[in-house]
Amino acid sequence: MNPLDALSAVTQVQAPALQGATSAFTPLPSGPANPVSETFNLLHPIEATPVAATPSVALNAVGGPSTWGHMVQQMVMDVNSKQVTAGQKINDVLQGGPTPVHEAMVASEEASLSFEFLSEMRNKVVDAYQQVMQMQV
Amino acid sequence: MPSDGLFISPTLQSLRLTMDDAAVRQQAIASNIANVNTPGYQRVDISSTFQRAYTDALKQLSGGGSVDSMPEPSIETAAVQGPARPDGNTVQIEQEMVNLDQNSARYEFAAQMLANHFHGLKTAITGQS
Amino acid sequence: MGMIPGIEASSSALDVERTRLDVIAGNLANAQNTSDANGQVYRRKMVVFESKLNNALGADANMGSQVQVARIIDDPTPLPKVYLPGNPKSDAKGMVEMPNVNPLDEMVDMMTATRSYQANLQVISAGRSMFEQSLKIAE
Repeated sequence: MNPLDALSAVTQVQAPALQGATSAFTPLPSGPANPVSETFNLLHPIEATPVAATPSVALNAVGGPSTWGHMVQQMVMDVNSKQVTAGQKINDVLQGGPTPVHEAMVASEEASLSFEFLSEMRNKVVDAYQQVMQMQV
Repeated sequence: MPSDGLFISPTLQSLRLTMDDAAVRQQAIASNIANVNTPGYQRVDISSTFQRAYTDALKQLSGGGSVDSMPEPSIETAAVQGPARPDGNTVQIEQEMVNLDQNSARYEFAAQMLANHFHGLKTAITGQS
Repeated sequence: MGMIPGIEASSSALDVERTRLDVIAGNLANAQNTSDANGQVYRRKMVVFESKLNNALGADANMGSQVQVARIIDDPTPLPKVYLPGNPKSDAKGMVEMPNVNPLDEMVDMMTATRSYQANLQVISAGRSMFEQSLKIAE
């Protein structure tokens, strides 16, 4: 199975659960001691909102993806397109076309790094989710 | 695209441009050295439009700007021809050998810097070297 | 463009210089030959180079030129005559036409050809080193 498909499936399953979790979270203070909000601070600075049970949290005020699920989906598509570009450039080099070798190398490295970035983000969010689930209520 | 922010940096772009330039220049130098004994051959070099665009782009990038588009690099008969030998050939083999060394050094430097850059990114992302 | 930039031009030059060395060796071997395959006095052979544009796959732009042997011609300089009355090919005055091969000229040409060959080897080596370095980008 394409690793990107697996990643996408996992994140989509957990995204709705996370949406509920984040809305309950916002009052917690942010800072290095709190791993979860530190995770979300990596992505966007979240303003403190009141504890209303909002079904979704607007992560980016300027018309960006409005839910975590959308954002991950966009990133997955981006990583996929980078991999497709890299594959095309590599193919071109193999066929003796006009693409210079270093272009193919840079494209392939960019694709690989984007994928690793997405993968690490998913790991952090999953860890955060698991920590939340382990909390005593 | 969200993860493009990782890869849009002036350093990265100037390194890529340098490698593009050096790769095409290598072909011009190879052509000159191969034709050093061909009667009537005029030495070639990278096109002057690309050369100007390249120096401008480097200046812009070092000031923190960005470059949107570059012309395609190509090879043309050099604007400045040295003295022609009796058979009409204008290639100065010593000059071309020096250019060869400098050009390959430039390309390798840029490649190594790019490698370091990506290595640094990888460490930042994964937390391991 | 191949993986190693400039390799088509350099490898064509290696072929060409090798041909030139072969021709020089032939000249030196036949320097005293008064009767070749056709019964004629041997005439010094010369190689004429010409450049050929590199038409890389999928690229219309000029990507430098290769070099090739246009033709191998006979040196038109007049044949020297040497006084050898006992030779079966001598004419009425005892003069024999000898090949117009000057060993010193041939040696100079040979050095030029060898130098060019080495220079082109160096170009290929530089190109390969550039390629290997570019592989490190995705280490």
